[in-house]
Amino acid sequence: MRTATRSPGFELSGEPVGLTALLRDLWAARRLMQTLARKDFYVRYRRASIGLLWAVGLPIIQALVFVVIFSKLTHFNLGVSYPVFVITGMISWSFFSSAVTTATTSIVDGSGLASKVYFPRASLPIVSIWSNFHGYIPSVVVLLGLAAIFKAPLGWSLFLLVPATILMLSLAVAISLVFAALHVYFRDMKYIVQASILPWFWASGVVYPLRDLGRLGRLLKFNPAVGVLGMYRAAMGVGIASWTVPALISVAWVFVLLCAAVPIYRRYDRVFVDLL
Amino acid sequence: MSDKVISIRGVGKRYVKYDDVPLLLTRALRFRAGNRRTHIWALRNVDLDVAPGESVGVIGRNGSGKSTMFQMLAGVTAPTEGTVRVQGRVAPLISVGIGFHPELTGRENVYVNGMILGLTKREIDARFDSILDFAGVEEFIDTPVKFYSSGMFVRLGFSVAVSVDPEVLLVDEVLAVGDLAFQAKCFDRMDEIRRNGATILVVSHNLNAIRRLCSRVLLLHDGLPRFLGETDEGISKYHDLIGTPTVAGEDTAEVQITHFEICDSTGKLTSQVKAGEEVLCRARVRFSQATDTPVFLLRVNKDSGQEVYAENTPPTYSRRVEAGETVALDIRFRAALPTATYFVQIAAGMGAFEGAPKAVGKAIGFFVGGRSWVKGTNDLEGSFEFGRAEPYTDGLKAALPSSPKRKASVKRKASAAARTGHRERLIPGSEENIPR
Repeated sequence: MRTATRSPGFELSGEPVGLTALLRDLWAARRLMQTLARKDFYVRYRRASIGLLWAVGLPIIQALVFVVIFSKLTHFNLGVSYPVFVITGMISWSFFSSAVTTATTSIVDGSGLASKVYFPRASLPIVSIWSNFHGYIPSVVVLLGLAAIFKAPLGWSLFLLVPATILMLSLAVAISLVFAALHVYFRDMKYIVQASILPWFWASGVVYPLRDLGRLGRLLKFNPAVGVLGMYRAAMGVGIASWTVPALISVAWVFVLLCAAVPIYRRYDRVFVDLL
Repeated sequence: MSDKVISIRGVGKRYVKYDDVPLLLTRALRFRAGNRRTHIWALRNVDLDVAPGESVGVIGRNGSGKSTMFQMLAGVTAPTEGTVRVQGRVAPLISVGIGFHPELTGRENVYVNGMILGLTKREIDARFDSILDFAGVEEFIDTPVKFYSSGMFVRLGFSVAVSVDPEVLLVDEVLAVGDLAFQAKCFDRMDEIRRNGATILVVSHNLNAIRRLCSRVLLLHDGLPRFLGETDEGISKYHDLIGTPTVAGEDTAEVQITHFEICDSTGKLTSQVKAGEEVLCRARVRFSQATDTPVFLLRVNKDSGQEVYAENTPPTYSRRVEAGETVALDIRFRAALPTATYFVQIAAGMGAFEGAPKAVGKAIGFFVGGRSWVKGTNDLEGSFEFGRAEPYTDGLKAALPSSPKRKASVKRKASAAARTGHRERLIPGSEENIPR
């Protein structure tokens, strides 16, 4: 079980779980989360004959479709390589959207586990995101290769990949924690998220520059995904707008969502199972 | 800090029961009319302290709150009121193979399952061989478990679960797994865990297992604790509870069973019978119509519903009963039965023909058990003797009468009170010892 060898035993009452206890349990469960995430990732591609290639291939194929179609239809005045612009956006977005979609249902999907043993329920969405992340790392390697082929101006800015990735993971975790908890009570969440993904995709400027939308584009800076994509593009040398303000907005979103998640998990951590 | 491993104080658990699927839309529309949901207390006012090394059984009918209590002890759900405190590592044997994925190999699943149960990777490495050994699936350990037989799957899951070396082991009905040889192994392993100082809590309908493993029982009924104490007494109380009509009787206008009870051979009301002893069923049957052929039936069923014994009086054997007469019916039978819960039921009718009016009494539950230290389903009342080995001459029979004096007869004496109708053991080779 959770705290296993470190601090065995527990005390339960109807009261909300203390924040320190919640974080301590979550920390104690880190190896379990890693194991579950690896298992989840491994199982997902095990039966496919080219396995892991799908994790990398899908966003690339989607990106190439946009590159081909949009290059024929229109010309964005970007000043940077359009293929690198799209592939960068697409790889990050496809990780983000699939992570949030699967993590939203993770607590409900994990009921088989959750009704038998205790571990902090917050670990389920985290496991789901971490499992998706296993496929993201090779995607970034492919992205770097493609950027080199398309002669993107790579340089020191590449170090921005690290904070960009941390921001993207934090955002995915924060959103998923809230959505997954809501999904236990309102099973509609799953469909709400599925329905939101496409509008959100277009609202994040994944395959086109948001500034071309004019006033609407400026409004969309409050979309938390915009800051993440801006940082990634800056890292890959295809940045077309300042990323600092949108990134700060994303950080604010992470903070707000985590603040919302904490009381939910303190109150319902040990009661979710009653509704599964 | 108390020395109790488990401490449950005034615990209650309330669930919300929805009368229908809570669609957001219909709920919103019905908002003012009030929600159609009710609260149900699955468990209430439970207090229990368990000391290290103790084993306690939790018994009760389905829906009495046993599983809810175990979920709280496993830390899976929190109580609505009161506190549950558990010290030490808990291994919930509530179901085996938690988190097993069919696509993963046995080896991979052992690691995932072990970590779910709270072991570290290093701890699993150290236990891996013994886990494999216990499960007996060495050849298939690198095969995906989807190719396992259900028995192999369960054995592997159980092996991981019992390898945890828990301070508290929660056992919920999982002993009904695997073949008999594996079940025996599980029992031995649980004994070993207990000897190592672990605390065991058992939920089971298999009262034989409870009797074997537990020194105390907690009896739950409709979510409330009814009894906490010595096992046999608890089992007896449990049967008093299930003896109250579970299967309602059916009376007809012509025949009514007005009273039915079961007693031991001395006529004392009981719900627990020693194996092999006589049971007396006493009933009052009222006939509203006169009949020349009253018929009576006795049926004993196992709690699983399987018929163990049924016999009825032949119509020819009867005597006339007048209209309005109430007859006293005594039926005696010998409880030569394996340890288990049984239900006894009587019926009375007018003639053995199909369609003849008859009354069926309610079923009363009772427990048949062998002597408390005996393991297994049947008390075969074995006797043990040993003496100095003599060289065989014409086989053992010839050797025995030559040295009857040296024999020492060893037997564990049942307490006289517990064993009415005490019989002497036969000692082969000394004919005069045979009673009767």
